[in-house]
Amino acid sequence: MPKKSIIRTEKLCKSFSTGGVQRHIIKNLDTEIYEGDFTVIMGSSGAGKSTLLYALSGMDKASMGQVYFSDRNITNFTSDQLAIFRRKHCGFVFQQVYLMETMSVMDNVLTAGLLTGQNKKQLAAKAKDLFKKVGIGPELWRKFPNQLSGGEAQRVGIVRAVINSPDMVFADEPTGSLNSSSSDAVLNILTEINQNGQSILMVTHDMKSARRGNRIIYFKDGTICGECDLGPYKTGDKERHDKLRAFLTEMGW
Amino acid sequence: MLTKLIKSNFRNDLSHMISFVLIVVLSSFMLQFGLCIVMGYNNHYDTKAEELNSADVILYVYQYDDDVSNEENVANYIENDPSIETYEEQMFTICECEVIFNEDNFDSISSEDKETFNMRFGALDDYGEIGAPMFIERSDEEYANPIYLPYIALKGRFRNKYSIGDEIKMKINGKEYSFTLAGSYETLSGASPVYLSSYDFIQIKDDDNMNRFFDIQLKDGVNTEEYVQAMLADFNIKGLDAYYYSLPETIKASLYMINIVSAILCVFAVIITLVVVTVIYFRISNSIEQNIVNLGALKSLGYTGSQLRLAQILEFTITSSVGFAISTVLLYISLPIFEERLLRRMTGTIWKPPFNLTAFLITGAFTVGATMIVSYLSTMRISTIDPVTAIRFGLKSHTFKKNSFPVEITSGPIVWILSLKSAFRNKKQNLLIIFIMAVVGITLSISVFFTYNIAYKTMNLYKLLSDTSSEASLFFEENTDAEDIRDIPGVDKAWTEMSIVATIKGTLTEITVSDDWAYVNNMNLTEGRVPVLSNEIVIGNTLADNCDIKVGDEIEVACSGYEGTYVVTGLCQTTYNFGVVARMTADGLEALNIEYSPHWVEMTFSVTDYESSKNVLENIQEIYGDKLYYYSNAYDYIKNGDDVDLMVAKALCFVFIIVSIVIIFLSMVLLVKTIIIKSQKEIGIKKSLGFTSSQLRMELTLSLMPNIVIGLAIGSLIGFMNANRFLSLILKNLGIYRSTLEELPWMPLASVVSGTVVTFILVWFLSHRIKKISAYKLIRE
Ligand SMILES: Nc1ncnc2c1ncn2[C@@H]1O[C@H](COP(=O)(O)OP(=O)(O)OP(=O)(O)O)[C@@H](O)[C@H]1O
Ligand SMILES: [Mg+2]
Repeated sequence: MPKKSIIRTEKLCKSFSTGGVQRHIIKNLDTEIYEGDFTVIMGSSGAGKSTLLYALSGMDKASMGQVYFSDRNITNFTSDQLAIFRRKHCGFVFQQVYLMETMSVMDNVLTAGLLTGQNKKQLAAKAKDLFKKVGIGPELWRKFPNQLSGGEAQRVGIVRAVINSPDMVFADEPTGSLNSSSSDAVLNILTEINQNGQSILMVTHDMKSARRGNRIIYFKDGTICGECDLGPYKTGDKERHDKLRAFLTEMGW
Repeated sequence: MLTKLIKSNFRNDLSHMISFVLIVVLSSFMLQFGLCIVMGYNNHYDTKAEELNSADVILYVYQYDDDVSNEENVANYIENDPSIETYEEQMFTICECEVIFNEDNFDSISSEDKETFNMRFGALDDYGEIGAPMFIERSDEEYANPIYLPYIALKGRFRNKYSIGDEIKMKINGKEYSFTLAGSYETLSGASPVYLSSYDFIQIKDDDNMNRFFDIQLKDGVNTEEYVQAMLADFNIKGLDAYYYSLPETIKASLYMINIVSAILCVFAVIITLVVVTVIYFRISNSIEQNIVNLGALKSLGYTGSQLRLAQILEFTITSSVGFAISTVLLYISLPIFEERLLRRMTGTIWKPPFNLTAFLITGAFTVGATMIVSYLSTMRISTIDPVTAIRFGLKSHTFKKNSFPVEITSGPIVWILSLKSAFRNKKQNLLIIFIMAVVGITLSISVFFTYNIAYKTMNLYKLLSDTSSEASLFFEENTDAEDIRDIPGVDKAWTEMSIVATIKGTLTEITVSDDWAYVNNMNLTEGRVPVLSNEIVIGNTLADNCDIKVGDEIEVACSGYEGTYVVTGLCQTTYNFGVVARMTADGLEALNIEYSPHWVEMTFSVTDYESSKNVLENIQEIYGDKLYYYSNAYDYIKNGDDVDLMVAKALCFVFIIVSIVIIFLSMVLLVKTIIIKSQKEIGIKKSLGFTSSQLRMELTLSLMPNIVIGLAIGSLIGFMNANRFLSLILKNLGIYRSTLEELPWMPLASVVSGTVVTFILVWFLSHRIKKISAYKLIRE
């Protein structure tokens, strides 16, 4: 059965001008991201991975070309239209956690949830359910973000990203600032929600994280220069690890 | 090194600093303006009196062909008075004039085209040395029929409609004349006559209404006010009739409005300065919080705490000095314009505003000084920043303890809940908003109160300032009864009045007598009740204060050799004779051996507009025909208000409203910008979650509203409850001890509502900066 695509680009270009010099970060990219996948974007530092992620998610605007999200062309959306679009369709997990410091953990999540006009009771129940799944106990719900550890905060961030059941969760190096045990916990959660059907697009430059994906895309020189299908994730899959290493070596990582 | 720091501070804060400069410009402008005028005018009159060689006292008597004894006796008295240095005599005539403004048609009854008033005429050639008219403008040409007007009349009564060389058509005592305006002059005399050529003067003069004027200059060391009191008391005993204008009184009356206006400007300047320093305090402590990491970094680079502080203090001191400098330039540009357009019209004299060093220094010291002190105090914290802690953790105050209005249990749309959450989060900011909005509330509610009572229901102010509460005065040929007039449709109350001059505790007092004070519903009593019995009297507050008289006291009243004892039943207030007045009953006159023979009937209308009041009076005129000599209508006075006092009062209302709006505007510019910078990150996060700019703008706007409404409500109530007290304070010297202008419950409400609406719109507008913050930018940084 062919996979259904969620995001599709046509000749996507993105360039920045710094000090009068045009730098093309994404060049004429045609690609598709599929439903149900845990897609991982890899590449060297400064290659433009984040730029690509935010261009695909409608957080940033393309310089040229088109981006289709669930068959809607979002390229020419105004920033308010994009904001409204993001509410329902996109969830974000950032490297820095970016929780709202002025409100409690629970309020951070509910604030995102209420934007889509969900019933508040059901929403709260859903939030609590999700919190339990990611291991954030009730004693933490009323705490403020700066009272949490980095790992806890990132898990709250994930709950906030998925509270509206988005079509796609975008994650930009979600484990970048976490120690290894916290990283594992976060990656486990991402893997679990993916196994429950959530599409994920994640940027990382760390193999341990990348191994969680089933489709690895290598971004270089403004375009996708190769990809590798790893199949569904299983723990302790040695073969998978080797396959990924071989792919990355081939790509010149 | 320090210069670099200050420069970069300015670069980061530029737009903030611009709004800050503006608010400093406003406050120091008002303060210096007020001071310049107060000090300037008080000096101005002394020099002007010398320049014009003004009379200290002008005494005048009416000439009667059949009885010259009064006139002769007064003349003799003056001739032989040892206190008098020198004097001159001149003849004037008082005539009833009609001046037309729009058409050559005297038949017009609309006061838009025509004005009727009594005016004093003299011949220019007769003038001597004392108080000779000093021309502000005068034609070089010779006219056959020149007319010279006092500047104050040209701009007031003559409605600023004529310039030199224009023809002025007038009816004088019923006969038509045409003059050419040949000049206008400044004078400090309260008489302010119109001058004609000797030929014309003889043509128009009314032999039954001739005044013989004595322009008197007193010897050095003689106190004019005391002299006048003594002389009039003397005349009173001798049974002589004379009227007077005294220089100190005229100056006092002239200065009066100027002093009030300046005092109000200064008070508001101080209030705005308070707002300024509060905003500075807020601004600095916020910038410390925001830049704590930077400050820490700078410290670790080797800047000392005092260097960093100095940079901040200098930044604000320089800014407020710039504002002060700009305001000074603006002041000296606008002062001459203001003098020409308003002050000159108020005083009838020319004042060339000199540079006032004292006002400059006081304002500078106050404005710049306040800024320095507050920035010094609010930067204290910088000294104690420990670089390591600062860089790693920022300030402790960033930890939030209480999650107010939890989303889960607060009902309403999400934007609403978020506004509620942030509305009560920051105590310091809330106090600041409440304080500023309370100030705004005070000015707004006072301006609502004033606008209603002064601009809309001008009659309220008029009645407060006038002698009794009458709305029209009718002068009859013979003794009159008020009873018939009471029955005329459109007349509400009517009572007869007569006035005598008597001595109370050595003070010459104007006593108004009526046969039934019960008909006066409001005698402007501040205490006690109206006189009913023949031995009862009500006296003016000023008199009571000056002579230490209280309700219940017995006082002696002396008039023309007779004396009576009266019980004080009440105190009243009036601007008339600066409150040195009394009121008694017709029967009370018996003790003074005076017969009650009133020529005046005072009345109030049951109608409340100009047109109807005019109809009522025209009806009365028809009924009484020639018996009615003259009438005046307060509605006319209000409508055609050439009255400078009313003009100034209206200008003040305007100033209040402008001040409120400016405070709202400038403080909100500073506040909203600070808040947005402070919550930049959170705004970015919210945008990434899918909040639109308008949602976030609405959240910000709504979150400020509770404190804005609280502040406005507090301020409006304070202002509203003290509006009359405030006015009484201003008017006290004039004789009004207790202002009783209408206080209506909707007034504070109106002030809160209008303040809220204006602020809401303004904050919404200012919050457009939120649009520029993008989620993406936040993540990139
Ligand atoms: N808003 C911007 N303005 C100018 N240049 C930009 C902007 N955003 C990104 N760049 C540049 O584009 C290039 C790609 O940046 P990007 O952050 O996408 O790389 P990355 O692959 O995510 O790198 P890393 O792995 O270090 O996060 C960089 O050289 C960066 O400097
Ligand atoms: Mg990146």
